[in-house]
Amino acid sequence: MLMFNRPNPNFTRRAFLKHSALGFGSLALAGLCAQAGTAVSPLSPRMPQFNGRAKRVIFLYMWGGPSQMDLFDPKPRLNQDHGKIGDERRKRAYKGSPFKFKKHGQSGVEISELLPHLSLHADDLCFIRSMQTDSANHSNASLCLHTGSANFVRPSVGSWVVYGLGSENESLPGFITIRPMRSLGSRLHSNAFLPTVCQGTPVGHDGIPAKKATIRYLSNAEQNFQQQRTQLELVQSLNHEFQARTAVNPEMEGLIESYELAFRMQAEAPRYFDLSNEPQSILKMYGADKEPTAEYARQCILARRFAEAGVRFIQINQSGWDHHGSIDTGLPQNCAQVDQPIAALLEDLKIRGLLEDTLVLFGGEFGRTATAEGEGDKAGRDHNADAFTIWMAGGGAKGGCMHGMTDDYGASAVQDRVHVHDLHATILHLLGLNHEKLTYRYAGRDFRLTDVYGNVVNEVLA
Amino acid sequence: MRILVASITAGLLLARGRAAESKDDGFFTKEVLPIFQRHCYECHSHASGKAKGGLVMDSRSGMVTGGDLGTALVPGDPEKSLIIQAVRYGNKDLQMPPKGKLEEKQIALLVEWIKNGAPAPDQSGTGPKHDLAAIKENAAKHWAFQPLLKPRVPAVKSDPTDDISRFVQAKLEQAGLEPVGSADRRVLARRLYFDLTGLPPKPEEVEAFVADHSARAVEKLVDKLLARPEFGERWGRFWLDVARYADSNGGGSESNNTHDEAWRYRDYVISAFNENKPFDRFVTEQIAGDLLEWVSEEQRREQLIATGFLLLGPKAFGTGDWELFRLDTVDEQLDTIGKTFLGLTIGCARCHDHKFDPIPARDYYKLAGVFSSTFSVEKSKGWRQGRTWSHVELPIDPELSKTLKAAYKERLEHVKEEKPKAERELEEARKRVNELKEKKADAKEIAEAETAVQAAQRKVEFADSYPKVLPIVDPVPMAMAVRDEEKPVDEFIRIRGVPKSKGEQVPRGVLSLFGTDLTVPGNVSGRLQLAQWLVDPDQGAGRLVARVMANRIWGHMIGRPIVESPDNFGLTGQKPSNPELLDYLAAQFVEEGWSIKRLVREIALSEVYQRASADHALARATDPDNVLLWRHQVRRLDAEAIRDALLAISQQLDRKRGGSTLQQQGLVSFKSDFVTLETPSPYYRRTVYLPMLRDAIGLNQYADEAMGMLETFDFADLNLVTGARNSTTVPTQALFLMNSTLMRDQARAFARKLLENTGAGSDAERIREMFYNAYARPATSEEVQRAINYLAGFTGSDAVRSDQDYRLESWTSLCQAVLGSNEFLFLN
Repeated sequence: MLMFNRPNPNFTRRAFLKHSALGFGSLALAGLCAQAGTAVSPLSPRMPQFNGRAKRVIFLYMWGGPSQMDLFDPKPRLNQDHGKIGDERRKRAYKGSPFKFKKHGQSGVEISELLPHLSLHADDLCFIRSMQTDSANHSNASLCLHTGSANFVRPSVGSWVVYGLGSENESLPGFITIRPMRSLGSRLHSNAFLPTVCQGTPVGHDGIPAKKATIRYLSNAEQNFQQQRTQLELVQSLNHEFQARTAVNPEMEGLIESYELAFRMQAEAPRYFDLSNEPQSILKMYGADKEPTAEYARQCILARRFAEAGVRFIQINQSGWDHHGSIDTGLPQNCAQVDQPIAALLEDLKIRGLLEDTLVLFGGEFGRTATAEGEGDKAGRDHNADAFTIWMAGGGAKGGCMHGMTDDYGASAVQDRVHVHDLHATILHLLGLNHEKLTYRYAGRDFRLTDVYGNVVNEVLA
Repeated sequence: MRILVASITAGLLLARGRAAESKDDGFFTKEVLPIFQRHCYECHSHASGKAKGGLVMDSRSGMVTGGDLGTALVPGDPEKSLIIQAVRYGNKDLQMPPKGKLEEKQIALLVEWIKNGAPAPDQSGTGPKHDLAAIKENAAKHWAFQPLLKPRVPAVKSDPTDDISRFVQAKLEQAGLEPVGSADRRVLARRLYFDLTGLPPKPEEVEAFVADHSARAVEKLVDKLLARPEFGERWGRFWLDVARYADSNGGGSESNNTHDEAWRYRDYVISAFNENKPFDRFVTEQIAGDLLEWVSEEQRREQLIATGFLLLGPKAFGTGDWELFRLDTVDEQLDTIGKTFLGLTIGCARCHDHKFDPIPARDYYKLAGVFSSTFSVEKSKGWRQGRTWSHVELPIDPELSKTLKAAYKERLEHVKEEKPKAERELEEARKRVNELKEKKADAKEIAEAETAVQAAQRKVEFADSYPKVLPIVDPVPMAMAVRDEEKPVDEFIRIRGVPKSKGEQVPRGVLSLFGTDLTVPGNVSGRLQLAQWLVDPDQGAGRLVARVMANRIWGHMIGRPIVESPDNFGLTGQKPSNPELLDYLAAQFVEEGWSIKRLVREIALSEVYQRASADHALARATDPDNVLLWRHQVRRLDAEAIRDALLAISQQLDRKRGGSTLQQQGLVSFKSDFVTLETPSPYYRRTVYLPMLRDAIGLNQYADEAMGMLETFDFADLNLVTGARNSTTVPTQALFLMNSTLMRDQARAFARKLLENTGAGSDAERIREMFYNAYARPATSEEVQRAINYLAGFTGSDAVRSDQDYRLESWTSLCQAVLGSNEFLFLN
């Protein structure tokens, strides 16, 4: 919070409501989802605060902390000093990267040989190599990445985005998270104190194969469409009679409307999960037809479909990047699972003209150390909160850009450091939202995603 | 904040600075100010609305006061001035301006200016004064902080029979409105059953009430319901909402251990409501139960368990920095105490003086000292080792304790033998598969053998994990409970909340808000003194505590609290819609010995409560939101009432009371199978008894559906203090009603009961029974006819089924429609 003497009028929510199109805040609490009567749907699309470049976000979350020096941040010095002690305290030696880097595209951004498909999109990618976060343990760092707070219960980025912009599709939730990890818990997609409509809707979880992952309550195994329609008509006639006997009540009207909406949802949503009408060429492009890409490919195709349908914030959760050991053999496997699908996602979005206003974000909760944990084939890298790389593409991010710099070993960001708060500020900025003005009054305080921090990283804007 | 820091910054600086402050020989305005304006004010001035790093540079005093890193300007000493260090770019963590280094010439000008004592006119920094005195002045007038006096009951023209209604009537008359009449008896019965017990009335109960024509009929019903154990289950849950109750820690996935003994606190709360424990006593026990006298072991146990309140929050064990973690834990406790009891956002004063309420950071750290002197979390144990919060052995009969401990030891020994045994079994099972394959036995036989291998594998896995789990299964009853640290400490003010930035050390104490402080003896934490202060209506915070609780009770009964920000009674909170009524209720509450049941009873017996929810065009035109309560507020049943009512109507509800419903213990997130309950049984218990696991995903179907359902219907967030839940309408609710297994199962069970009822002669009779159970009223003949038509027109599933199946299916569909309709889901 600012340490000003009295609340700056520009920062109070009330004033903000007066001056912006985002005037639904507390109205949303009484929220009616349908655009019925005088009530404003909390999910209906809203104008951003200013013209943003992106309309939606696809966040490719890589749990565990992908190794920056093996993927995106080549360090010749590290390779030279391989084997020398780099961590006196823990007596750990530097570990060079066995993977080759090459410059790609016209921009000449450097990408590891482990990501050949992605490299073809070099000029679309915007790397931030100087990321930093607050914690070097998974749970706190992943909370920080998703909510801006490593310790406290706060709404997720996706919830803030839905709160700020609503959704463009009434048949789907505004914030969808595909196969969230059970080990991380629901806080990563929680709306915390924001209105319930802002909560992330999970599509299955990591214990369910992608093919079977779906949205809760979406289908009914026991009644067919016609039976449900007839049943719904009975419900609605009971509702209308009850309404006539009692008083006008917006909440009751809301539920009546939401039945219709839910019925539409369950009629429409399942088709997003049915990939049988995707052309073979597309399935092939993503690698949905083969191992080891099939699983991630399917999720990328789902993400593209949701993006196309106007879902505001889509997250895909991928685990397994926590390479404490055997990184030289483990990392190639992880990359092989996601490289082609991600490249295809970018390509597909581009072909459909969606990449322009879809911000694709790739990253984990932190990076890895320059020094080795374990030896020989078994060697891996430890957690590192002082340096990691994320990349963005589309949605107004500057293609072919490499922002920020780490030291000679990739151990610590030294130039143009970008904290997670800055990343959040930048994401919101690209969506046309001012991170200092997107506030929500809860328990007497105006909360925001970036708390009292955050600067937009202007250098990465196209 | 500025005042505060100024006061703890060396007084010398200020004294020296003041002389130079008013003088400006023009050097500042001409040479220095332009540099500041161009390079600094964007992030450090009132005009820009930013004070990054806590620093404002648009006044000399602002710079002397400094920000997070301390004073930025030491007049006369450029080398000690952080401004100069920053612009020189010498320290890589402190380089300003961030966009690029100033020219050497500009740096030289700044150095010269500071060397000369940094003279600057007292013109800038003209933002509004952060003035604790001004805040205090506002606070002195703030309604919530006034002494609690029982207001005179207003004289009204059309005189209701009770005082509560007179207060409401006065407002209505002022607005020129007339209230609607009283509710239908059946409507009232349903309302009372749900409001007091959270469950629907049975048809015969409704009829008995309707048939009772005595003048005291309502009173008798209210007293009957207040005496039921379901009252505590209903009202205790409201308290669990504000106690951020949960059966696992949350706090980040790596520390999401089960709160193995939290259920004792939950049961304590339920029985406190059932026994009508005076609320002041209830508060005291939760803050300082371990420090209270006791006359029986039972009382001692109860009082220890009560302090679990302090430990139920999400604790971020993964935080690497112990001091930060410790202070975060204290912060969570203070924040909760503030919102739960006082309706104040105390937590805001951790980093600076509260901006709106009269809570200086100093007060925050006075209170923080109390909890720094209380043992809550353990440092020594690794945070993955399970329970690292304070827990104590509950006093039981010493002989029994000995027996239990011996039995536990034996079990532990026994478990060690399990693994080799299971491994042998696995080996044999594998061997058998190989043998069968070699023999080319038939597929079925091989498949069976393979299943046996899988079973043996699970046994090994279990044997592997069990010894790790067992040590946290207690040999004797334990409770989450706190105790005083052996050496109580006074806390240091942390500048801007940064643990390392220690300011003045302040004595343990309470908020200075009410003008009284307390003296905490050196050898105790001060929790007991704090608790006594909290419930003291005259000298302490009792007036506020009483108002906050009376407001919540009113809100639960009427559907809308008088103060619509029930957890924020501070200056940024909502104003009471009827302040006199609130004070009447609060004063009455205290006067009647802080009796919750009496207050609930008085409200239930008021005309206001018993009003119909009927429409009134004129009133609606004037007061569409029904703020003045000209009618009863229609509202959707809350999450647990819907769930419990579904189970009650389908007769599936397991009415067992209390006890732990966690079947496994350990890390929820790493081993979600630890809490994957394979049987639905706990999931047919009342919602209050469900395992409330924070942040859990992918539990078994029953757990997942139950928790998902609660979330969908705006249940309290398990991490946050929730004095009033939201009531939102999202399509997922309708999807739940249409498609969830829970809903389908209950509809089917309900249908089966109706069909099995041989007493009912015809389908029309069964239909009437269905409506009565769901809506607490007889069906109209049109409704009966429509239902009959619905059954007749029902087209079965594609699969060929028996007539019996078909009949059950059609009835299930009908029941689901009735249970999914507004009349069931709303309370009018």
